[in-house]
Amino acid sequence: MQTLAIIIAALIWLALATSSSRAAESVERLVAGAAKEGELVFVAGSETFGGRKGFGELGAAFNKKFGLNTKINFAAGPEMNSMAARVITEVKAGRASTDFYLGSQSHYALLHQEGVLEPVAWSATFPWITKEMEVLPAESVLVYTSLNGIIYNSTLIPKDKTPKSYADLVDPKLSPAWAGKIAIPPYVQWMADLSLLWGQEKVRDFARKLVPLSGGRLRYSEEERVVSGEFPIMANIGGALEHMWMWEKKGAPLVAVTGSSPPITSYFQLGALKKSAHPNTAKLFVAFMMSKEAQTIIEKYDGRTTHLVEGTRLAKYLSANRIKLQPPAEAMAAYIKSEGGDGLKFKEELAKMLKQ
Amino acid sequence: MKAAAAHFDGKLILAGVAGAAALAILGLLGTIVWMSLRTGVPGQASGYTFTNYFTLIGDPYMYRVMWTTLRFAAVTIGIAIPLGLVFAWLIERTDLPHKALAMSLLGIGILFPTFLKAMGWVFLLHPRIGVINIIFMQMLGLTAAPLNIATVAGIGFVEGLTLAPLAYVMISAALRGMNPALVEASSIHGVGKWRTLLRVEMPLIWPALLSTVIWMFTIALAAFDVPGVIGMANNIFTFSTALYFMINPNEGLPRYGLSGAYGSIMICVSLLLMLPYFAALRQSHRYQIISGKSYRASVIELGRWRAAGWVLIGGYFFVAFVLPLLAIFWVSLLPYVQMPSRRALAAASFERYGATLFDSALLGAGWNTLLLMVLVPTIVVVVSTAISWIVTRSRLRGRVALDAIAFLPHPVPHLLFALSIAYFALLISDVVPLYGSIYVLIAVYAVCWISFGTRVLNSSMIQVHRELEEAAEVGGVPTLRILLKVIVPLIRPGLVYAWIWTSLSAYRELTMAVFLASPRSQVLSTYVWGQWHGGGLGDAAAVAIVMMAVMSPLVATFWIYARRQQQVASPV
Repeated sequence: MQTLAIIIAALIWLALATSSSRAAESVERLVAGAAKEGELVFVAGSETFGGRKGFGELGAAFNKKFGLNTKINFAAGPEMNSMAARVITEVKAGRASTDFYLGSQSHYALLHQEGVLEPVAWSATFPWITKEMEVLPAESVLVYTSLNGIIYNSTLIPKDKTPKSYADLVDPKLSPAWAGKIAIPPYVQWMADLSLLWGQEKVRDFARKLVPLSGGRLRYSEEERVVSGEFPIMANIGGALEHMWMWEKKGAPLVAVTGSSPPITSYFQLGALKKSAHPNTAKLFVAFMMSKEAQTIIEKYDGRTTHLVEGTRLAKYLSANRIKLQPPAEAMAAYIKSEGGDGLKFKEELAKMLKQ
Repeated sequence: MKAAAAHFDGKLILAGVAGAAALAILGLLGTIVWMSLRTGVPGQASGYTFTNYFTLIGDPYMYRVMWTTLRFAAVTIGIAIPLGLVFAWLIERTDLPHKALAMSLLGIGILFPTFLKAMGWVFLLHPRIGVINIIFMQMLGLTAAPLNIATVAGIGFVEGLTLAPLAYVMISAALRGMNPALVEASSIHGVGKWRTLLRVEMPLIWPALLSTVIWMFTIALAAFDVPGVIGMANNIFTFSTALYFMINPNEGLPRYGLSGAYGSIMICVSLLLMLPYFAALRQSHRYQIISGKSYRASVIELGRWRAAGWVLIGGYFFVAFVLPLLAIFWVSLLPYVQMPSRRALAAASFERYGATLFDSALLGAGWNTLLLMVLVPTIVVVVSTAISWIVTRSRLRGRVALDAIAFLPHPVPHLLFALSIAYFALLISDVVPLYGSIYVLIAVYAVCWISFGTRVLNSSMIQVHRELEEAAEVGGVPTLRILLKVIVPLIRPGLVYAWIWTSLSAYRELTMAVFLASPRSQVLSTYVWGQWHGGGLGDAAAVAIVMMAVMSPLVATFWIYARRQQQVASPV
């Protein structure tokens, strides 16, 4: 029995040793490949990861970590939904204009379904990436966790009228304060997520009441238009708390409230793309974004972090407020499941309502 | 025998260049129709179907978009034409002082990129953050903003203000070419100046007015700049922005097929609009001076209205150019958009400008813009010369068809060409990696502006008498040499004018660029658009100011040179 235990232990040790030496070898190979490629291209919304400034610092830290001299190109492109559509089109046509992609569950479900993601054994290759961080196993990793919520300009919404939840947005006692001025996002995913808490019928009713109150459509990167007062309130935005924290630093009057309990959570992921022009650098950079040093830079410029890296602001916030989030991979799997049949029809129905 | 061969080769080269351009135009338009009959994305297998047309016809949203586009175009025309008409009349038909300055101020109006003005207007006339509205509300004690830029009328107003100088250029050409004998006759018979203006001069230029209205309508139909900057966030979608979201959707995959169907319908509408346009142009020749005499009608003395004339032109320049620029500059100094106040002033800094100066992506965009400003006009001038030579100087079969094909990009919204070339480049990206490169932008700009180049060069070449060419031909000079040594020197002002105008158009173009730009092919306009669209209002404002500051001397030099060529004529 003792002999058997020793053999099993030896086998486990051998497997671990082989895997870790292979991982080290793989990282080395990727670094060597990246050195040959010499360049990386990332296209995303102009303010992603702190825009040019934040991305510049990330690039410098990446080069330092791996001893590279890679030219890091960040180009302001369309927002995530449009970019996902573009990436799929490009990969199918044989050429991706960005080396990796940033998006949440809905985008990655689409990318996964269309088969445009490059398979990478993330947690097996990179020692600092845990299995839990792989949102789509062997395809994407969690770069930041984002709690959705309402944001408003505190100088324009009277204190006694401030919304505490999504339901308040359509409350006839409160809604006159923002009727005709509230911005709603042009996406339906947050309402589809809300239906998991409220049920589809209640969300349908909510959407029917909310759309006529709206004064415009703002994408998730346009919170400055609430800060400026162009729209005094926005019905939902990804990373509501992080936006508030970022604008607080500049003295801007932006307040965020998570509109539901538990909060609607978006898991933003990075993944390398097939037909990328710089495949090795892409994999290495995506992995680097999960490191503590990268998370510190992202937090500094963008205010966002993943709750899975210890010591980040969000990890502390969730712990302090005793909020427990669903494991990302589980949430992703549930999302993909909800995409079929009824879920898809519901989203199409919501999209039609938003066009009004 | 040798001479004949050279003759033949020259014609062959010209025909080859012209034929390639014609094929490119027809090919891109054909791609739109082909797209409309397919489903899925490029690279995916698809059969042929009319599903896209049925989907489009059954979608009430599309009717709403078209209705919005029509209202937007109507307001645009309602603002641009009266302003352009008054400016043209003041400059061409009256004794307004300092006309050269007035023309230069209006010229600057044309050169200032439209989307930058639109950005400025958001900060001036938005009902909640517009400085003008807030001043009015404070002064008059109003509870709601009196003006609203975030409406169809608002975006039409901004587009109309932007197009007024172009309307002026087109109408002034008609006023300059008007037969003055009728005006003189009216004056001899004792008819007053104002009555002559309404009863004689206006009816004389109506064909030109009508063609200007149609031209403005086609521009408004495809305009992306103003609807994109002001309309999109305020849930106002026109043809161009709706098409943009078909290719860059908020949910799901790009709908190339649907956009192709939409585009095909727009191609038909645009071509139909050309019927009254050509009818009006044909009519306009009836009213023009037919003698070669330098004969001009005497100008109308404005008297005490001179000051009013200048107030109008100066006021227009201030409102359409200075105010939006000031608004953008103010926003560029702040950490976030705020109303002018002591507190805001204390927070103002040039921090964004420091970051902008060392931004390699911006430098890259500037370099690409310069490349476009040099290569596109050069290609347009070379290709247009070949086409115009065939159309006006040769007896080649099919020259009338060639002229008609070269004119096609004029009425068809340019963004459809951009859409088409993007689709085509994606299809062939495995074989030829053109997609996302600057060459795609160069190609589509060149194709779209051939119509302008050929209009300018057709009129220039017609004026060159055949005798010179025939003499050279008799002397055995090859065709290409005749073109280069005889015709080109004679039409040089036209060539320079076409080159400069095209170059300036490349500098300010956004509509096509926004559909095609990639990290490798960013230009200044798409760079600013990317910042604005991504929510970085202050950054967009700072880059816009830098763009204006850096490019203005170059643009002004171009403009002065063009004026010296005395070719400030209508691009029709």
